[in-house]
Amino acid sequence: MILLTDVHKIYRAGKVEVPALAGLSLTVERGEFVAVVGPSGCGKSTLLNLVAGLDRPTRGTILVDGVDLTRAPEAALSRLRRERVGMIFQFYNLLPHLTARENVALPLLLNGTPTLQIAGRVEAELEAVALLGRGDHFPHQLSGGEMQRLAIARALAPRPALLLADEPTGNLDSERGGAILDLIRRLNRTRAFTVLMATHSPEAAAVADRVIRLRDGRLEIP
Amino acid sequence: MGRLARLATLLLLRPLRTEAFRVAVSVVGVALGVAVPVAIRLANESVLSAFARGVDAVAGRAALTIHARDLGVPEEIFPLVRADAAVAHASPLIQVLAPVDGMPGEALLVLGVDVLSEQAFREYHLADRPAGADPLTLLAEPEAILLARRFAEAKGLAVGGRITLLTPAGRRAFRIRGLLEAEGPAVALDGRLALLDIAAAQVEFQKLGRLDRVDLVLKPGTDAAAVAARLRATLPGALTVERPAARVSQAEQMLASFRLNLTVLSLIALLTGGFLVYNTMEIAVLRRRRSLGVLRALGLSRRGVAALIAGEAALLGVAGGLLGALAGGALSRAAVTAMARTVSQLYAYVRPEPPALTADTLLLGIVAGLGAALLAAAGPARLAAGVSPREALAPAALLRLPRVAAASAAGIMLLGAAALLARPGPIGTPPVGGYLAALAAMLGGAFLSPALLAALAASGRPLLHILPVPAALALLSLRRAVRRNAVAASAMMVGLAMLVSVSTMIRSFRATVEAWIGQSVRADFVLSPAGRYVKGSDARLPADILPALAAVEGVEALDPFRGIRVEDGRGGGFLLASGDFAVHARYGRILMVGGDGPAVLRAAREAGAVVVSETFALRYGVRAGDRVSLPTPRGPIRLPVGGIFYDYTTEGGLVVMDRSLFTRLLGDPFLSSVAIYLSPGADPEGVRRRILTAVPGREDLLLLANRALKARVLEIFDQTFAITYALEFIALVVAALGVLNAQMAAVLERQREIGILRAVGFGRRQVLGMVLTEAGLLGVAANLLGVAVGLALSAILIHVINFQSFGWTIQFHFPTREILLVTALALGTALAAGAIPASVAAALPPVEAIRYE
Ligand SMILES: Nc1ncnc2c1ncn2[C@@H]1O[C@H](COP(=O)(O)OP(=O)(O)O)[C@@H](O)[C@H]1O
Ligand SMILES: [Mg+2]
Repeated sequence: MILLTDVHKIYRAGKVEVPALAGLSLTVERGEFVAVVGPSGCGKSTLLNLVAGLDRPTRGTILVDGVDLTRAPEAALSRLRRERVGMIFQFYNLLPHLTARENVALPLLLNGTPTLQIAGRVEAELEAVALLGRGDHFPHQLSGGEMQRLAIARALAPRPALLLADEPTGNLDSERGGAILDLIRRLNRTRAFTVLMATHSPEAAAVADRVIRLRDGRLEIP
Repeated sequence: MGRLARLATLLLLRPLRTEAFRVAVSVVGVALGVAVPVAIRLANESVLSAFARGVDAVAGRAALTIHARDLGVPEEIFPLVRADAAVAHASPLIQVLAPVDGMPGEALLVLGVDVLSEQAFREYHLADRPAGADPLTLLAEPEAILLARRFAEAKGLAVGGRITLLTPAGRRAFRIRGLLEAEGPAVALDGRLALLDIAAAQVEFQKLGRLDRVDLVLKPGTDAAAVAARLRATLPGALTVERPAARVSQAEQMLASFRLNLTVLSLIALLTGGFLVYNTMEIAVLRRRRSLGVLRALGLSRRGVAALIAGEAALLGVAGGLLGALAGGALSRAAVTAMARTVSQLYAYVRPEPPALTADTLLLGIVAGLGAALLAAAGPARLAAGVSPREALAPAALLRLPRVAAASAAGIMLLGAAALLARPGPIGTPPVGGYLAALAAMLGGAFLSPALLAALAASGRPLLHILPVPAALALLSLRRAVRRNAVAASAMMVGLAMLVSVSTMIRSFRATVEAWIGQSVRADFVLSPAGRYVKGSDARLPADILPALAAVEGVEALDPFRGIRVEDGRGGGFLLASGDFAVHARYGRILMVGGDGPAVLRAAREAGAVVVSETFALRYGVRAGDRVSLPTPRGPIRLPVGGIFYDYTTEGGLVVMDRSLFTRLLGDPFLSSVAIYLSPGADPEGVRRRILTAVPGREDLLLLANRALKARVLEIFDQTFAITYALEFIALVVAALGVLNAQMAAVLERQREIGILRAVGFGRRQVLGMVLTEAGLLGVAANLLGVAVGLALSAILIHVINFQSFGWTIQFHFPTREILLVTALALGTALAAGAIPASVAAALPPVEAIRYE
């Protein structure tokens, strides 16, 4: 599903070069739930952004779902995100002026899902994250845990092959965070999509099939 | 609902719903930008024709006149002239001065007119008759005569009564069929005017088969000089074909210049409206960075993001365009109605119809709004498409300081380009360079705003420790949010620049019109030989009447004028003239190119120098301080040039020297006319009577009262300027909206920061102080730039665009008052605009602000 070969990512801030990833190679199988852990600043977000095609590596190759991200044109990357990759974030990143239902419908409208199917799919996704009654609420009317569940519903609505989660529990207490992790784990089992999750919490890592440790942009050999 | 419609609803309309304020600012911005060109387009006809009537009142309407000194023009040429392709209207005239029997010293200028042709030239209106009744038809009756009401009332004459005139055939009695309102020619002659049918006049004054004059109005766009030359060559006999003395090309150019300035000003308004859209969209994009990043993460392509912004601009543009077209319709109606009131006082004939808003004007407004908004959205759309989803989505968005240096470099390059382009090209060619220079100056100023803000912030840095905390935070925030602030400052700057340049332009143009009227309609009275009016321009007065005139009670000063036309030996000619420099310095309205008029005149009088008109200086390459060689009837003379003055009345150039020098060098004992200035408080009617009796035995003198005419004409011009004052108001609103919007955005964006400040113990007043300080600094920067760019724009308009179009200079009116106003306004609106969002922010409970995400 994901294949990284000797990936480097160097940020340039003025004259200073910051190596965020320094020769990372990594394989993630289809359906696998992989947690990336490591201290703040070790390159987790950078890795996820590269896999999402939001950014390009300085060196090395990245294959996602058979697409070579280093060579693919902009439009192909957008299309990949529309159809194959879902993302969730620490700060939810919901669209504040859209209702819960509309937030979930948005990616379906963007990816060309037949309009007649959209309403049904949205309801199904809201049900899957237990927000069925909250469809008409706006994000600011939801609690943190509810907002993250809504973000999951939005990310999964297009039925992606890959879910990228960047610190999904970072902004939640341990109880609500645990519920989110369970939800992701359960959906990962039933729907068989791949999960790549960045986190620095040990509990979060515990639900994963496999844990990868990053330090200074490299795999940490235990 | 279709997918696209759904997406448009969710991504375009929905965010707009929560941004009513920004939407309102943008729509109003576009609407104002569109309203001006629409209003000007709609009112164009009425405004221009009203302006043209003002010009006609001073200069007369005929573009050319044909006469033949004492012999008269043979009647046979009239059909030939009328058939000429360039001639729109031709009117044959008999023009004689006839003493009134039984009223010693009173003479009437009798015009024998062709009832059918005359209408196109002069307007007559009957007293006590409904408007629209053509008084000229009354002349069809035998023995009919029309008199001016003013004269008739003064002499106790009434309709139905009789008046007897002395004609070459003896005493002739006429029946008074109607009285003319004091309009058009009746005003100019102060009521001493009588109208006869042309055939009757030919019989009574023994001029069968002859005409005294044929006046011509040419078709639009024809070159009067060329037509004159052609007619001179083709018409039989020795005829003079010339432009009436007052109707020189400057009168036409005044009109053309008015039209050009209106157009340019309306384009500036549209540009400003576009800039406001740019401003609000750019701020919106910066503010919605995160949402845009989310959309990119959800798979919306760069092009999709750009389309989103363009779609929003299109919505705003169409709404603003529609609103602007409606507002423009209302504006033009208001302006034309106001104008109609005054114009019909002078010309009752004309009642400018309030323009109707037609479907195509509405469509034009929408298209203009859409076009301006889309163009304005190009920058923000690119900015939005370039939003890096990675950065936008980062929890604490990384600060990227804008490249102040790059923007400044662009700004300096643009200003350099403006300076290079701002050179007048060959006169008469379209001033493309001038237009580009104006645009470059405006954009250059906008690009310099980040540097100015950064400089302002940096200059405050040493003070950081001694400043109160809110002010220090404001300084820091000014630097940090340079991009957002720069957009706001440039939007405000554009509005202020428009305000400065529009007011300068209007005031300068008005000053020019005033100077033109002042030069054309001099003094309280002008005494001239009637022959000058009747036969052409060669009639003259003996200079020995001056002492008698000067002795008249109520006469304060005399300015004797003598002009003789001389050939320059290169196929052209100019007017060599004299006046009393001392009187002119004191009472006249001479305007010098660089220099104080009265001082230059006095110095020239001492030094025995001449002053030359701008046209003369340009044509012969003469500068102040040079010596010019002048051909005179007594051979060439060389004289120093004491100064160059603006002249809006003489064609071909004018060289003037003091009368003492003129008489000494040329020994010419004649006068062309005498301008008479009255003592303050003198009764004009009494003085008039005394002047006429002071020069006995001269029934052929014409004494014209100018002051009333001048006041009326100025009133008309002022009314036609009403629509341009609306432009000033609009500029003001645009400037205020620019700041309000920017400040509102700034506070919304900083709600979180403000919440944190409140949480750590900042009081409401401190928050208010911080926001207001930043707004004030922004106002200072915008003000500096706005005044500078506004002055540059005015200078380009006057010295490049107008100059290249017409070859003469509009009076530059330095807008001291406007600059002060703009400064007060910039600070005032900046603070007021800052105060609203500041109080919103200060009133926000800290928890709310922190929760805001
Ligand atoms: N845009 C950027 N410019 C410069 N340095 C960056 C940028 N983004 C991330 N970095 C640096 O790259 C390193 C890795 O960052 P990140 O991937 O966000 O770490 P993590 O998500 O593991 O906390 C950090 O040292 C961070 O400071
Ligand atoms: Mg991170």
